[in-house]
Amino acid sequence: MMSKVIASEMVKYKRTWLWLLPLIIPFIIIIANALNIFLRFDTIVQQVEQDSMTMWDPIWIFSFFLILLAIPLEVTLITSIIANVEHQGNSWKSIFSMPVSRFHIYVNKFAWSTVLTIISGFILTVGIVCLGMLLGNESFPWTYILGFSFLPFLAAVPLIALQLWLALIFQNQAIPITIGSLGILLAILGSQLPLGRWLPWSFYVQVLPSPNKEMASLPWDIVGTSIIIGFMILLVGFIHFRKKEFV
Amino acid sequence: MDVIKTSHLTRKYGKQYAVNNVNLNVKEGSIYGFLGPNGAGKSTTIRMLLGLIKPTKGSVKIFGKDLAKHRMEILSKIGSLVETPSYYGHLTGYENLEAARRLLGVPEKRIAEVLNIVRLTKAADKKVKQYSLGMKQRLGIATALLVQPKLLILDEPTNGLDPAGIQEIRELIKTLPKQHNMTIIVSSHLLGEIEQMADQVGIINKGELIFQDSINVLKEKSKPALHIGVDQAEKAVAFLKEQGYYAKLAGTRLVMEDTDPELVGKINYALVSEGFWVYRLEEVKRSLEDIFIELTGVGESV
Repeated sequence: MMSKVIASEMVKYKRTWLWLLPLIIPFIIIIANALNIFLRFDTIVQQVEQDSMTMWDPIWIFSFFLILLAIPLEVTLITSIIANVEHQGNSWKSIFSMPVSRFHIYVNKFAWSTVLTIISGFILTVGIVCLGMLLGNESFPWTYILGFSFLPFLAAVPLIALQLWLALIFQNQAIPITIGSLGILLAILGSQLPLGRWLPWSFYVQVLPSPNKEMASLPWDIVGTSIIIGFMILLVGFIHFRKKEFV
Repeated sequence: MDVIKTSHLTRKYGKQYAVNNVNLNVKEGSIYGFLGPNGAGKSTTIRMLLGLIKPTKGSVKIFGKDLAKHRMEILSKIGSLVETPSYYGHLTGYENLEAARRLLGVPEKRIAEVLNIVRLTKAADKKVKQYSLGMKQRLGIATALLVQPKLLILDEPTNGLDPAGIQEIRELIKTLPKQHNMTIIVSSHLLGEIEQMADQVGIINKGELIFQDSINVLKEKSKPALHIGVDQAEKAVAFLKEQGYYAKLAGTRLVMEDTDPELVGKINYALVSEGFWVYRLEEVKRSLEDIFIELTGVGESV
């Protein structure tokens, strides 16, 4: 049954931005990084030598803020497109008049959002490695490379579950998009709020390595926690969605 | 056998009854016209038949099985179109059907077949947002037909269409039960429309089913009646009863079912010879509209 739902969704997303979005976001991050470094190459090289850093460090410093903004933006847009495909043509009543379980539909939409977001993170990893090589780096600090590309996208699972829920529940997509944008504030302030580290917006920020401090290993504990929290939000969202009457 | 059987089907919104104690019986192979003014509870009932909303009270049996327990199995044999058309505007007609086809798991050649049935083959590669309302509605019917349903549920399929579009959909609906051996329930707020395609009729008003029978019974009600204007009407009714004629009193007039000329003559003679003043003998033909308005009481408010 699930495979039927996946195959059907594939058709629906034709001619939408959904296919481009996971490419565009990492592309922008890489281009912005490249521009930042190449436009003021001499200054940066000088500074790197002065502070005895590597040519990786300028990437980390710049990526931190880009990723901070990019992930909520990407997740909000992806989930909104996935939900709005159904909202805009009144398709819910038609779908649920067919022998299809709501659970399959919900989980399938979550899977699409998650896989596309993670693919985005993977593309960013490849892009950053290429950029690093282009800058003449010879060692590869994988905890940083993954920490500034793949891992925050993986730790965005709670955010995906939350945004998808909002996008599916509200017919008017201005609501989830507004909440998603305001969420960026929470992402920035998250660590300062009480219980802030448990907010869906704060997990991906927590896995970002601090550009100035040494980091010994990858923060798998935070990634693991975020995935568990993500599945809990998914479950709560589904229980709510299941009861919604589509008219 | 009844394809659809609801018992005491009720749905409340707050304190308001949208549907109240409705017992629908839809016979196999029939076209059931589900008639009622706007806001009478047609769509609410139909949404309950599809399990889109849950009844507050009562149950729905389709193909002899309880909808609450066997929803998936029942839905796999139903095609439906609920009110406003559902579609993916950025996709072509063909792609819309393809998305539904993959979900339903029917063979690909079925798409060409249903496109042909609703005559959208030529427009299949156009984006649906460029379709007219009538085309969108036909695409909706095509989607409903994909699974070769045993039961087709169409909620206001002609709403918002122009006369040509209405006729087209009507002709389509009429041919389906014969060619494809299915039962159809079609709702409308227009009596004329139901009259032209249905063989069974249910009339719902203010959430209550006020009439349910074959269309012929409804048509029977539209037979002309004899109206007699006479002084001392009450006395006249009693007198006619003595003579063996049954007449009803309606205001200051007598109403009789039969308009046979010989009988009318006899009654007139009897009344006049008894000393009544007969000042009017009138044959009144009632349209189905009149009956509809009489049954639903909508006329009162106008």
